[in-house]
Amino acid sequence: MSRKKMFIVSHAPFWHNGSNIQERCYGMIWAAMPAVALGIVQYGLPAVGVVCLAIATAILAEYLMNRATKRTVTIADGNAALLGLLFAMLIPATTPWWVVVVGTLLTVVIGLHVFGGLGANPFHPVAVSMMMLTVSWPAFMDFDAALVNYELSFKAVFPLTLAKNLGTAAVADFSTLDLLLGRQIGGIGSTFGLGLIAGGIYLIAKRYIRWEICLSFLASLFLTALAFHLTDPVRFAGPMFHLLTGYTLIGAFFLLPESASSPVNPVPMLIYGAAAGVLTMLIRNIGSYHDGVLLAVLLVNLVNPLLDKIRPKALGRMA
Amino acid sequence: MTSEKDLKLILSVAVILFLVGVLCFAAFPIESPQIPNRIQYRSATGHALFEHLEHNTGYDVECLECHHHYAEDREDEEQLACGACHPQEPGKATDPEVCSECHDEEYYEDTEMEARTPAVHSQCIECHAGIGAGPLECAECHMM
Repeated sequence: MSRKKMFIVSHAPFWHNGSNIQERCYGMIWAAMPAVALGIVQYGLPAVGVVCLAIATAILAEYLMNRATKRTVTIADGNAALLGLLFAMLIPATTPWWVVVVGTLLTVVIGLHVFGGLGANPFHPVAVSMMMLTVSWPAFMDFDAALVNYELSFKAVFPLTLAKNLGTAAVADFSTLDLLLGRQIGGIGSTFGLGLIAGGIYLIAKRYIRWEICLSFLASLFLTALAFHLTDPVRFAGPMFHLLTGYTLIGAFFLLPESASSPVNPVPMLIYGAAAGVLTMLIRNIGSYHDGVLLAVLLVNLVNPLLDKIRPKALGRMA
Repeated sequence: MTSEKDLKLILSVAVILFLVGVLCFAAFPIESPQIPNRIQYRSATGHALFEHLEHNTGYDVECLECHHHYAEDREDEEQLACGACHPQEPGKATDPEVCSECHDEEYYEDTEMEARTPAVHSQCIECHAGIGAGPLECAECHMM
């Protein structure tokens, strides 16, 4: 049987918008560029080193895994480069080279290829590797510790650490405009609110990601943060603060809507995003981690197959 | 499916990025400034982030107010870190070369130097209490 005929399925109506994995991956890379650019401006050449090393390691790891598993070489589809870039965006600019290499290998090998490659991964590969690194080497993932040597023009304390330990008054210095402009410490590409929002709008407009997931996540995070804030305004910071700090925006536009680990129907998408938002705020406000986005991503990835069972009713009647 | 031409192109890009990455790590390492900006004291009871430069330049705290018992002719950049004299664990010996810079051996051979944690605690708390500013409670510095 020829390879082409293997994928002939039932009758129309079907249509294809012309996009493919390659276009989607490179589109996401372009969308991430504004946020990465600000990280490079803030942290300089060490950030360039982390980004370049992560992307290169991801591509080479994907190539070696393709060869080792005797599968089609897929490095040109851009998925490996995208994973390397996303991993680099989440980590501090001062991350040692070996942590960058180990983290990228965990992303590509453990997060992706162990499960069968692109499309078969049940969890977002970057969220998997980031949590493994956070558990294994917490000091390298601690932004306050990692960036002590940088002299920055804004308060160089991770905002979510301040909010968790000292409450709302301690983060009063972080205005919404400051957070939108990336005047906060964090990962290389996870702090520039405006850049991430612009990238997210581009991705939604190009239909590379589904708005249902992003908006339900952001809306539920906002409402949950608001509920906490109204309950105890001194202890829990406000919703705008939580919307623009930590991994919220990169999670909304680059992690949660990953195609293999997110639902395919609109209603499950809304539940998936909303659940991630609630979980993020529960972890941030009453859990032990400062930022709950990565754990929330992994937890909703876990329930994704169950959510996908919520389907529209089939037309017609069962025989 | 990757064509031979695309494969070569992507592998070339990967190798170039790898070399740029290695170059950045090798040629532009993150160097600690001579006067630290911030110091994080890591502890099981929560890490404390000390705004070192902010105390020095922002609050006008003279070097010798904290780097006490030290030669006044020493430049600002040459001050020793707390841990150079105060050992990290109680009872552990400090570097004799550091001690002998100022003292005769008989002076310090039977002395048990205060460990770094209580030394830093008393330094911070006494100063903050004295001037009526800055954190005094544990949880105001130690963040989990």
